[in-house]
Amino acid sequence: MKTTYKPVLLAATAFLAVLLALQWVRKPVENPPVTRPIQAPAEVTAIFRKACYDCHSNETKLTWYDKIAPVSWLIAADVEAARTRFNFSTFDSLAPADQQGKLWEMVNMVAMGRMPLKPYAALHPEARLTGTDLDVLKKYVRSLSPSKYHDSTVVNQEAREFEQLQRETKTIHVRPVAANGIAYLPDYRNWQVISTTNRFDLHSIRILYGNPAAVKAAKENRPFPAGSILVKAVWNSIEEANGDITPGSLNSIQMMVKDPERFPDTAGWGFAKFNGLTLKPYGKTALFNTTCYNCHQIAEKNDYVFNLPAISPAKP
Amino acid sequence: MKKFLIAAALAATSCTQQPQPVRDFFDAGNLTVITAFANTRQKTMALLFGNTAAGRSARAGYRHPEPGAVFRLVIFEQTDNQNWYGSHINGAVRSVESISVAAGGQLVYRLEQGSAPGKPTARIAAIFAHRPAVFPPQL
Repeated sequence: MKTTYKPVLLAATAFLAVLLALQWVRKPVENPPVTRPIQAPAEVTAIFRKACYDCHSNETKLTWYDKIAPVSWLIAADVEAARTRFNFSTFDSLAPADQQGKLWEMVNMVAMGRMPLKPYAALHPEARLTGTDLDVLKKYVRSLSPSKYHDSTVVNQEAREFEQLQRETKTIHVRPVAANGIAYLPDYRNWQVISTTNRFDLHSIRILYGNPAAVKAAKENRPFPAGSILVKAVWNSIEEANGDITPGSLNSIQMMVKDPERFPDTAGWGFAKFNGLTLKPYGKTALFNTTCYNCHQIAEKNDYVFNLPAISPAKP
Repeated sequence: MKKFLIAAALAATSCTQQPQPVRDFFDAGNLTVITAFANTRQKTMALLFGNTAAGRSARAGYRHPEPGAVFRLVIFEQTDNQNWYGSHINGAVRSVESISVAAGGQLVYRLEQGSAPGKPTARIAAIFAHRPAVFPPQL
């Protein structure tokens, strides 16, 4: 009896000792001060508090078992990552346009069932969002992005740009290249159009083009093979009270290039955005590629492409 | 008979293994986009295509459309983008209309698909009211 009991006791003691030692390796999550909390109606912040605050704020509430290593390490890593995406405790320090963009992204993350994270929601059923919660959030973000009919800034800028187009005075001498190495490609104007979209969050109207490889994959609803290129032309929209939406000033030309060898960390996609008529590349360092990818994860089931029209019903 | 059935079964299975197109895109042939527009009240989204002569004519304000110019307007149903709350995306084609400019400069209007909300002269005026979207300058 004694001979079998001893090793078990020894192992248990060793396990406890290691567990105890682990507690000093890394501190559990800490809560820095709340400096510039989000400013939103109470019914909206109540939803954020119950579903998002444990990770996306400096008011993380931990249970006793959340504080024990190695569980605490996993939680600390998650909370750290969540706070870098956005932090409700400092949210009001962001520019209004950035706040608006983040809020629409949040609504879409929730609508697609990506947030709150499934393992978290399983342990915290009270954090799950109902259909009513989602409706409240949708109504809130729509109230942040009202239509501005016949917006003179966009109208006047479009008039100037159209005049330049008519006179063909502007040319670009050097091919713009984004920080991740993706170069602007003018060929898209002869490519197949995949879709046209208009957005009531950012107030833009757009055309998505695909090269032959991308178009074939989109037609067959398969993942895009290496060599696929998508190009999206985006204009700030001119909206009228009668419902008309027309292209105003050029916002940007955006690209997605499938090249798994060059972009292994972003599902094979390289992103690029060239702003305005001068096609100024967006992003100072190649890190911007990850920012694009993070939001595109919402469209993971479409190989990270948002603007594919619905699949046609099967033909008899 | 048995052999035939086996062959037919094989043909059927090999067919299902071939990827079948499940999305259709409007094929504008050698025409390129002049502009895109939409109307949220009518729930429509549209693309105006044209050949090179049409593009030049549109840039010049459609004052004297060049002979040989071909314009094609495709109007789609507006649908909600299932991948992004905050975006509309084109659905099925509602109508296709074309305007071609004859050698003498006469405008020939054709309704190629669906129905049009007006008479040819009114449709031509409505289509030519859309000035081209500003694309980036040539490299």
